[in-house]
Amino acid sequence: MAWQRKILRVDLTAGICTAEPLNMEWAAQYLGQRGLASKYLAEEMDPKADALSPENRLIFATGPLTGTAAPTGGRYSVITKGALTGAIACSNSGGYFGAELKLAGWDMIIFKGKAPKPVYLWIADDRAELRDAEGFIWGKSVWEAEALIKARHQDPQIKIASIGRAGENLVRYACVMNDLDRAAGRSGVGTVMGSKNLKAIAVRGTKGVAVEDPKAFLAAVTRARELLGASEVRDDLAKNGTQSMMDVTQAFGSLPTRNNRDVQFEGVEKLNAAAMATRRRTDGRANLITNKACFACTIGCGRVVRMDPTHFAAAGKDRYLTASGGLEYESGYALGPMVGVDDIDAATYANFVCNEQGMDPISFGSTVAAAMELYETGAITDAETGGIPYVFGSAEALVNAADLTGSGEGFGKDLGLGSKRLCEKYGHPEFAMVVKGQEFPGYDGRAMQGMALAYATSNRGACHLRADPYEDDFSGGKLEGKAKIVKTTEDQNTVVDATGLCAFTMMIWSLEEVASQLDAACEGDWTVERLRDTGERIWNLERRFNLAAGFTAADDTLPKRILKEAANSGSGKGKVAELSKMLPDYYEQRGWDPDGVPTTQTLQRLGIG
Amino acid sequence: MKVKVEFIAIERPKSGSADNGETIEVANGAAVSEALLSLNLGRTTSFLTLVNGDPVPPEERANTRLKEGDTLCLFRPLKGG
Ligand code: SF4
Repeated sequence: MAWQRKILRVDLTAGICTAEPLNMEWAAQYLGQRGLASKYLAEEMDPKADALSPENRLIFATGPLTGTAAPTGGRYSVITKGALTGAIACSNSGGYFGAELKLAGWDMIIFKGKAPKPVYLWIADDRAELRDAEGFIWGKSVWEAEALIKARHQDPQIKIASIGRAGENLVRYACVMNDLDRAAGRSGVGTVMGSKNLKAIAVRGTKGVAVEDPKAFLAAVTRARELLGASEVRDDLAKNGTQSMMDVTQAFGSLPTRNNRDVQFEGVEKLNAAAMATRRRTDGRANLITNKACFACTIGCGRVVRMDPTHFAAAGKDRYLTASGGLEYESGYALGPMVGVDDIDAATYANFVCNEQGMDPISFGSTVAAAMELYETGAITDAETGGIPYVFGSAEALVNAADLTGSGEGFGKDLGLGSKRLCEKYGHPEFAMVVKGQEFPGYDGRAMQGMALAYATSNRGACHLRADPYEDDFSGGKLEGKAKIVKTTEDQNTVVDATGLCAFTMMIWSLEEVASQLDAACEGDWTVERLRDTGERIWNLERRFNLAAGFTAADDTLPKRILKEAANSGSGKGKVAELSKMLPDYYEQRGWDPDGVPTTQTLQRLGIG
Repeated sequence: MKVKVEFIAIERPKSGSADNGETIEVANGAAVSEALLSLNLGRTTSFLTLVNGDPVPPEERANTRLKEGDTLCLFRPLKGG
């Protein structure tokens, strides 16, 4: 129950779709979504294979609670070897696509090979077939492709996950987009999709999802929903989205600014939640129109926004003047302080282009920031940028970068490499604010030491969602306690990513609420303890994949800037990230040897063969 | 003595509380915990504190004395997303 017990295998090289029973033994050990798909990935591919080779697998996976009435139970993840990082990648998305896939009767889709010509996958409940994308949606943006697919199949209810031109052009941080502005955003999962000549998955599902004990499930869901409803945190998320964070990191001094040279940004008041809600002079409207929610979500943190119609970026481009998905904290930081830009409309425009062409705004913004530092030092000149001065604070450069990277033209080809490859190409690898090749989210590890450790140890490269050191960091917790907090919350966040629920629920719930809903929905006993063990099992499986792919303890590190150059303001003033003081403790907490390799005992304890 | 109060991502009751950026009067040498008591925080029970930008852990609020002109910042322990 809760699982549909069926996976769809798609051999893109041969053009064949086949149904197969879900491995329920693995489901009992790895639950679903991030966990179960990582197990299939690790079993089926050589971790050393190139991420862009046909040998890489691309897995779209739901969790057992996806498609149920559990609050936020609409999530799916894309699991693959990441094109940006070469590490195991798992990018999670909301919207409605994941639930629709589950309602069509599938737990998971596993793609292998490479289609000889561009294709899209069409699923109508049990029926699945590959269709020609050439001359139809190949070469189109995400927004255009969605409209064309819905028109061709004559059904506005179809849910679509697709890549934009960025994925087709193999921009290293291309996303898989769904429902126009939701993204499985990080690590280049859309790049892998592009390398397989797979443009889109369109799905229509009309079945239900059965749960083991409907009465108990309803009670657990009601309780979980009540907790959300009574929460002040929920109210803030609905009102301000995740953007409240910008005021917090600004006050704390952990807001990455100008490629992490600074940790506080003087232009925050032009970009923050209050700025989004303030009416502008030109047309009397605010950037923020309303909030919106994903499938079954009672939080509704999504932003629906509108640009200033008089802004230079949108001149003559009407498609950007309609309401669309707006800035959240991570995109807001990367398209604002990180590039030193305080122009909310330029940042909104760049975010629209990221959605339209399927690019991760975190990696994109951070790459533009690296390019600005390269320009400042003269490593990049007007010859590369086409005469546009790529200086910190330039809204023109940001808009230009979005246009060119989205379309794959001119300097956009360089920007599409991501920070690491770009900075290596121009002789300054130290300017890349990355871990394992993935750009930083919006937290500086000098004021937030737990986050520094979380970035360094994240299996998919720098990530703000892999662990939960926030409260301890923000309350000035001691260095000695960080390893345990990071390890414990990594396990917790990992298992939530395997359920079908949104990670944001954990701002309000504890694992108790997750366990009670899962236990009622699924066969077998799902206790908090079992969930923690499952999270730890998945984490170690991911680690093993990365080690087999060639990563070592030397990759559990941070850029020199964060390790050696002290923060210049805020609560971390005068401090660097003390990674070397935390990492040995972290390995010990994990049951790994000093080289960061899980010991035989640890693997046995977790039942990893 | 006077202390400036800042609220970040915290909902405050309509009355009885200082406005954002307002200066409040507290007893000379008051501890952070005492200053917090004088603010009507309504249903806000979970928050973190900074004094002049530096974090004061909850367990140290009773022992951390404020000085004239300090800035006390209260903010919600947000998590990223
Ligand atoms: S909390 Fe936000 S991201 Fe999560 S499911 Fe709800 S609307 Fe979507």
